[in-house]
Amino acid sequence: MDRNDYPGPCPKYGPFSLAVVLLLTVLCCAHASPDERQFARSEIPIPLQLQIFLKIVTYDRSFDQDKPGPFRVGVFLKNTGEGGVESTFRQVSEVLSKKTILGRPLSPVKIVMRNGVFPKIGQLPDMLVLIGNWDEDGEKVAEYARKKKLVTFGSSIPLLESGIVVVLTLDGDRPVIHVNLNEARAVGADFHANFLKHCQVVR
Amino acid sequence: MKPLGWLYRSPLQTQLRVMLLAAIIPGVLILGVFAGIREHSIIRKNFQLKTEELVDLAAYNMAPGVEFEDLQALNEVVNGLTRRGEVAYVLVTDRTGRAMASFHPEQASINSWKTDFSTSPIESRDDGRTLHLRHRLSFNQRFLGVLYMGFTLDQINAQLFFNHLVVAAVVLLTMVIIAFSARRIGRMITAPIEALKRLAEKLSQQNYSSPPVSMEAAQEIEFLAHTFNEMVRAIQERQNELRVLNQTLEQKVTERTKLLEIETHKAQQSERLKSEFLSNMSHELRTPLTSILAWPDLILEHYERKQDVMTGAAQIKKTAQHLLRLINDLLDMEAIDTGRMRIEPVLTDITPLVSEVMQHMRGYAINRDVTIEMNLLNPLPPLVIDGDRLKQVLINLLSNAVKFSRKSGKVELFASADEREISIRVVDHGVGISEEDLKYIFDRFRQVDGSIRRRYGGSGVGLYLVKSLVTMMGGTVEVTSGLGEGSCFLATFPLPGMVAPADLEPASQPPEPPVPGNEKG
Repeated sequence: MDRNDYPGPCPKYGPFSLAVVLLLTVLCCAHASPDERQFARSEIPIPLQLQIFLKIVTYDRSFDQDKPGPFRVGVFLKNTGEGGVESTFRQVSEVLSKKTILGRPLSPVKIVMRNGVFPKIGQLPDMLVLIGNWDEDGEKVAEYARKKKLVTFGSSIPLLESGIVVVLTLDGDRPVIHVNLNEARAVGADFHANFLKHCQVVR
Repeated sequence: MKPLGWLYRSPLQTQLRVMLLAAIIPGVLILGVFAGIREHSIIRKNFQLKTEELVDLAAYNMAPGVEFEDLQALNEVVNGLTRRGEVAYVLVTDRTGRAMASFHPEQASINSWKTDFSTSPIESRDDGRTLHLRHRLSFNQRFLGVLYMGFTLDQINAQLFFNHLVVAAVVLLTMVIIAFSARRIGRMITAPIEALKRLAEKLSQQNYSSPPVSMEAAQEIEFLAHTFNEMVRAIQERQNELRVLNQTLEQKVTERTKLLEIETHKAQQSERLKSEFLSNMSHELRTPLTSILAWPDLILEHYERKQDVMTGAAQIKKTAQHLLRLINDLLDMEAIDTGRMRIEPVLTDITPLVSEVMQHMRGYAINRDVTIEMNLLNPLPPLVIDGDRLKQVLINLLSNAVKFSRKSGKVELFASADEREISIRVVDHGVGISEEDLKYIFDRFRQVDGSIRRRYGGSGVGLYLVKSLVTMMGGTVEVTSGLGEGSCFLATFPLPGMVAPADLEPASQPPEPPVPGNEKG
């Protein structure tokens, strides 16, 4: 459904709903692809996670598409497993280099937490993506994001409880988007209700 | 008085028109009303369904907005709804009744709704101008709030009014068409009857020359017209027959009148002849009587002269015999006229009978200075005949011939026979008979003319007796004559069979000589 117009008598499932359904379908298909299994067996592959997160950002009314410069994606890397942080970041960079978001080019920003301390970042990113196992430090990231008014994206349920705004998990073969609505509003995110109704919303 | 008496007295065409209109127009009106009501019902029902569908869809889209308190999303939906002209108001409340989004909420009057919801998620009520709808908002089976929407009925009422106008116009137009059709149908049915009526009026005015009615109509009326035409044709034929009959009757009356005139003339002539006959006969009877009455005086005066007495007695006897024959002729005529004349045929030898008559008439002829001759041309066979009546016939013919012969004249009798008949011809060379008089020569009371009667005397009965007696004896009699050329009377008697001379009986005595001047007519 168009945001600005109500079409009157029409099918109940508008373009918005169809897009979300299509997104979930892509997630299912991508999860089944054998080339992506090398990144994580129990999680959604990182490139696909990035694509989904970038898509979810577009449902945030606070997203400023007219802001000059590239859209900076902050990538928190920790315990990425085989290949190390650098290898994972390269992967992420390759994926983001091929994408745009509402016409804005993407620019990855590597953020590595050392000894529980965040590094100083010159220019703040527009969003934060947690890659790797951040279950223990999730609250710190959430607090940081809350201060910086940044929307955070993760991939495990404990992160959601820690205060990460959007978490992507698997329910069997079905991907599930979890949204922490209070945290979202705390960081200034304004997700459309029709998006939220397809998500697992936690208040 | 009958309630529709005027209709019964109206012309047939009016009755048909009224009946057709009365039969069809109520149906059209009922159909029109039914169509209007049905149109109203359908339009209201469709409008209700459409609005309910719209409210249902709006509720579906508003529920997440309420659930996640996304007022912007709610207002987007409300704004979309308000672009529709028929939406009067929109009000979205959460479960506590707090308004979350609205459009003209003052019209919502949510207090007029019942506090309890029915089993159906959507409810409606109608106040005539606005259709009010209430829809529960739910998300994942949870009650979230209520959507109130109102739809103005102005447009729908305007549309219904227009539709009713169209239906009324259609009904009106249909009624006009029906009225026009009824008129046409009435004319179509009554036109042949009108034609028959006009023809009947003409017939009632004795105008039978009207052409037959030709028409294309219902079978019954065509049959009626055919029958009517047949009746007119029959009347025309009857009229023609009557006309011909009248003409024939007039002709017959004319003919009968002419015949009557002829018969009247004949009767008058017969009457005149009778009068003449009586006058004539009176004269014939008076003359001899005068003579008879005169002679006794002479005898008494000269009784001493024997010769005179003898002459007188002889004259009296002669005149008395003449009177006697005259009277006998009258009696015979009367017997013939009344059918009392009897013919008694016996086998008779004709030759001596004729000779005897010739001998008898010879004295009379000598007295008249006329020679009388008999010429037997061949032997005459005997004949079964009344000899006395044959003698009477021959005497009449010979006395007539002698009477009308000139002095020193000659009368001849020719007798002959062939295989079939005996012919006796009496020829004289006297005054003869005109061709005109020949036609009446055998008629009763006829005489050639008054001058002859006065000159020759006679009663006019003789030749009538001749003709009657010959005819009664099976024979014929003819006459040929010319004025001044004498006459020839031919009497023929058929021969049914020859008779032997041995069977012959002597003929009876001949009658007395005929009275001189008896007749030629």
